[in-house]
Amino acid sequence: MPGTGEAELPEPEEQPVVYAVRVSARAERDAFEALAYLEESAGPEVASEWYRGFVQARSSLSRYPGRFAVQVAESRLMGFEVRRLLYRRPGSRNSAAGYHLYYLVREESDDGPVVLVFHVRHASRRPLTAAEAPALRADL
Amino acid sequence: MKTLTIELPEDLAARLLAILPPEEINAFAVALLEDALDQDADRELPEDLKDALREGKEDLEAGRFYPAEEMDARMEAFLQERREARERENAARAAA
Repeated sequence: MPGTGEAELPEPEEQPVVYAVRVSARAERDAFEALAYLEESAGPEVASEWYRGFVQARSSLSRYPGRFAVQVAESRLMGFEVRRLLYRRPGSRNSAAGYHLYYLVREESDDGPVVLVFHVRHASRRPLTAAEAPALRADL
Repeated sequence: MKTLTIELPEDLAARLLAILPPEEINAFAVALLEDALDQDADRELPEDLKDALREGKEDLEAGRFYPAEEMDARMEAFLQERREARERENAARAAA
């Protein structure tokens, strides 16, 4: 995978390691912002659907969390191997409509193997491109 | 949505199917492709992402993580509260 570090697809095991999934207050705040925005803008059914999918996606990290690639730039800044999972609400048509769950994997902790989710971020939040910046400056 | 079909070597397909349930394979493939196409190790990270990474590091060093199920319960309660509030609003509107 170009420039991304490793995405590990392990050999199948008889008994896969089960990781506890833990979150930070920041990750919860991020997820709540997304949920509240969806509930307000799209209604309770869409918000509930998003919530169910979000829980399922996050829970999937309890098995083989190393299957998603290490994010090189983020890991360099943080000093730990940062990975991210892309979650899209069922039926969403493009990846920019999804959310990234940023997480770390710890093979050893007081709770055994653990996944630590520390940030939930809309996938379209990104730096301005060279083409977009002049247009924004012109609006100022 | 566009459906693409890819051919995998037998051993890779077997490993994939051994570790992921079929309903998770699509999301997994999309995430990997997105990363492969978008990644630039030397890109400048947005400031708010840098802030989130610093906060994550502080939380890690201070051990400030808790079971995800606690968050789930609060989100579930929020949705239930909002459902009830909307029902009350609709009932009040109907009664007016």
